[in-house]
Amino acid sequence: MLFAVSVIAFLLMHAVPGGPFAPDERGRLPEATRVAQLAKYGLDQPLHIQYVKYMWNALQLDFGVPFQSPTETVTGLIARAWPVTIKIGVPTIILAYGMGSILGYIAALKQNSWIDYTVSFMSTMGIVVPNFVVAIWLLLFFSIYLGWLDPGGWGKPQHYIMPVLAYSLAPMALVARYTRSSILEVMRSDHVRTARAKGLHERKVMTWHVSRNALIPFVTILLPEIPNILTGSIFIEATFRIPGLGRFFVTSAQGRDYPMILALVLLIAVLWGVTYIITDVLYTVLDPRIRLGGRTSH
Amino acid sequence: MALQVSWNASDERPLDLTRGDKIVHARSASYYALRRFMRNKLALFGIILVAALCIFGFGAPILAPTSYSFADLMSANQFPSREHPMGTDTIGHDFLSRVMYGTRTSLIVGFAAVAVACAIGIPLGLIAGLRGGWADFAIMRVVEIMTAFPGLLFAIFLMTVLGSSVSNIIFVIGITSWLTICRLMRAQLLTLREQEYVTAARSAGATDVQIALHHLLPNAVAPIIVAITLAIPTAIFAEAGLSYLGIGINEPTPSLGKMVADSAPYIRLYWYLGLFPTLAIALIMLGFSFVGDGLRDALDPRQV
Repeated sequence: MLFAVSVIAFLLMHAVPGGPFAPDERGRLPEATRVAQLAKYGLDQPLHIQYVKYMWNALQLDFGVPFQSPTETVTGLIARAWPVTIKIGVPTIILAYGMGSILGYIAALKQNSWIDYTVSFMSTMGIVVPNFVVAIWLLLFFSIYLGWLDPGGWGKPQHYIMPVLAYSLAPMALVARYTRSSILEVMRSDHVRTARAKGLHERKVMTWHVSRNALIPFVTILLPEIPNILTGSIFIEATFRIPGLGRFFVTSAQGRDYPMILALVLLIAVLWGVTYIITDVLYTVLDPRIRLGGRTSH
Repeated sequence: MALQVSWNASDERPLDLTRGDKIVHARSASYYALRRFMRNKLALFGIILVAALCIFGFGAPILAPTSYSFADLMSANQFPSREHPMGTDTIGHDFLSRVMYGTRTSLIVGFAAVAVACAIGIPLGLIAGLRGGWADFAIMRVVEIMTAFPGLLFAIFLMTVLGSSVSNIIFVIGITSWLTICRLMRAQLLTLREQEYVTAARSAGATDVQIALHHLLPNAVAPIIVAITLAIPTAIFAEAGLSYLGIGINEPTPSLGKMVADSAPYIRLYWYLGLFPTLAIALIMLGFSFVGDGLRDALDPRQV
């Protein structure tokens, strides 16, 4: 899969008309310069040779030189920007999954109460309303109406508050919705009734019999959200002026920065792969019926 | 879905018309689906919201105070007043008119992009589901690879290659969002084509095309409708998002996402420039999502 993604990304980037040194509205490069530039970046060689060379280097974490900033390396740029994105991503994940599962849990326990309806409504809102809209609303409320927070920037602890809030709302809503429905489903199942019938303490039933089984759909559906969060949101980073990975998606796609685009695509593909492996392993821990590599009795 | 009937005989024995049982009412599954839908308050609210937004957006040429490109520099940066209910922006457009036309753009892009997605996804799903074999294999590999590819990056890349315009953004969003519809169509057909009535039709000499059109499509339609309804807000979000980043729709065509991005530097002074377009986006998204969720609940009561 990783191979397919890389080949296709590679071919796609080269198949489209235009290129970093093609003549455009800024004028055209002199022919000699153009040829020299193409040779310098290895763009004059046949595609399959370019590809093999690229992948060999990529395995050693050398993704080449980004066209948009030729004095640095792609690895260097990503190494500088990604930690910023991760610093937003990790608190986002903690807040979203922590708060989301607590809200979903409460909503399930108090099914059909006003708390349940409020949580359901809020989670629909959270899933549906785009995060840059939420970001603008937070800006309007906290930094303009109340005047408490800086409208953007990076470096101080207070700069985390709004991006993390805006970014975590959608995954939080998703987590709350799935936690609620999976807990409700497990609570109606036979083994929980048995546990109650044999006189187990309610708290023990909830922790041992309900929560553990409710974690399975949680892992299936929600773990794959994590790579998305860790690669950042262009919208959040643009709104709050955070120097993270997000803006490279825009600048590199606009500038036909092949090395950068490929590196980003591969980064995401690797993250996805790792998440899927972790998901599979977690299944076997949570549900002893599932066995990797063999027949599944499910 | 089976026809649901009730009759006047005692429910002990099965319906027997020769014994004088009368069918009191026999209604189609779609009748019950519609009734379930109408009972769902959130879905009704969604329908009303969508209808109101359609009037607001598509009625813009008649209802809007000014044209979207009319600007009066002398009255720029006015706060909301009776004359300009949403104020005026930094170059003196009446902001209400801008938001109305922006809503229209969003709706057009939403509907058209989903139409493109259907035009690609439904036939491909049909081929994959009916033909099977190498066609199925090829189509499903394309779907898988496109799913693994980061969609936003792909969309941004295509937009920069094609240049920003309304028709291009419709095309780009359509071409990146047909996967769900295709996959769903195929999955539906795989279960349906094993049903007895399809075998019966085939043995009666129906051609593949006849079977697809008369037997499979009508039965596969319910989940597809739900997927289409829920694809509309996703497409609208994509347009707003791309325009927000400055690579979607450009001036003079008004786009809500672009308006949010343009007003962002000024919202410290002019809060209304940030509030109204974001509110419009949120309402559009909410309306379509409520309708989609309502349809899903109505058409498939088994799903939670």
